[in-house]
Amino acid sequence: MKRIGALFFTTVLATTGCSSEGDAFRLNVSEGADCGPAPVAGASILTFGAVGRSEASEDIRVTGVALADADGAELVGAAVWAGDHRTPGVVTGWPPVLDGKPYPGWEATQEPGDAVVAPGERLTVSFGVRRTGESYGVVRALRITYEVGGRTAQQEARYQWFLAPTSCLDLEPFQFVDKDD
Amino acid sequence: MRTHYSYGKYCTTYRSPGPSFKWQVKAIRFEGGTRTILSSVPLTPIQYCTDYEADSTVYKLDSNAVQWVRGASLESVIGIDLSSRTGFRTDAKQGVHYYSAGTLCGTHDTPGGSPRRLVVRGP
Repeated sequence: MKRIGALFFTTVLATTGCSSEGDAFRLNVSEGADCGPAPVAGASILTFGAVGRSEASEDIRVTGVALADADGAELVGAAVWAGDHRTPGVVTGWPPVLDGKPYPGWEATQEPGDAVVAPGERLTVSFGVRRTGESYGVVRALRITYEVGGRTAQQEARYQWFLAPTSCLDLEPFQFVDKDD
Repeated sequence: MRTHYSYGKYCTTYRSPGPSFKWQVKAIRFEGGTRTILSSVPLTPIQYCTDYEADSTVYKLDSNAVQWVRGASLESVIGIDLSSRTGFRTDAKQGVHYYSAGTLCGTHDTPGGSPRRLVVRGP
């Protein structure tokens, strides 16, 4: 039997955070964190993602994706999926690579600027990040700029995406405390 | 996991102006002991799945998990079973660490949202 190789664990931790709010769409990121290995500073790249659904009555055009709150990490690229897809959680590279091949369905992604999401459609923002510092790279918020109904708006998705210099098992709980606390 | 609690059936009497009665069933205390209940692996739509590299970790710090329709088995005593809701509080953390690449799926949403039940699958 093939070993799946995953470990479930539960611990107790005090922390706070907030999820994104928006009138056109809501990225459904609850409090939590994703962490992936990025051993080579300046070179290791991971692709993360945030999922939501359009709540607008007309098309949304995603025009920009940026890191709103990050340390030791820089954005390499971003893409938008419209519709239902299996998506990267923590996957190596940008564009992401799975089992040495391009990520399944990646050709369906749209670049910010041209990305259109229909009313009620699912929306996933995938983004590639490079670790730049000596320690963990962390992205605490992603800013998405979009146009809907002739106006431009922004939304921030707050979560915690980590790039680990060694193993994610070394991640200490205190690193989850929001820096605004 | 099945656990054992004592429940009490309480009657409160009101006399203003006439008598009326309010019945309540409440858990009294945890009696100790647990038993693992086998369950089939639930279906997870592909759009609720996300892929994780080897040596990656995902943590969840909140959201409701699942509501069990017959969470408290009291039918033989009070005529109905009670539902129970499990969930993650903001002071608790659930984590999955992948020693090899795999996929994490929710039954009702992606793992980063409100998935209810999480299922770890192979690549």
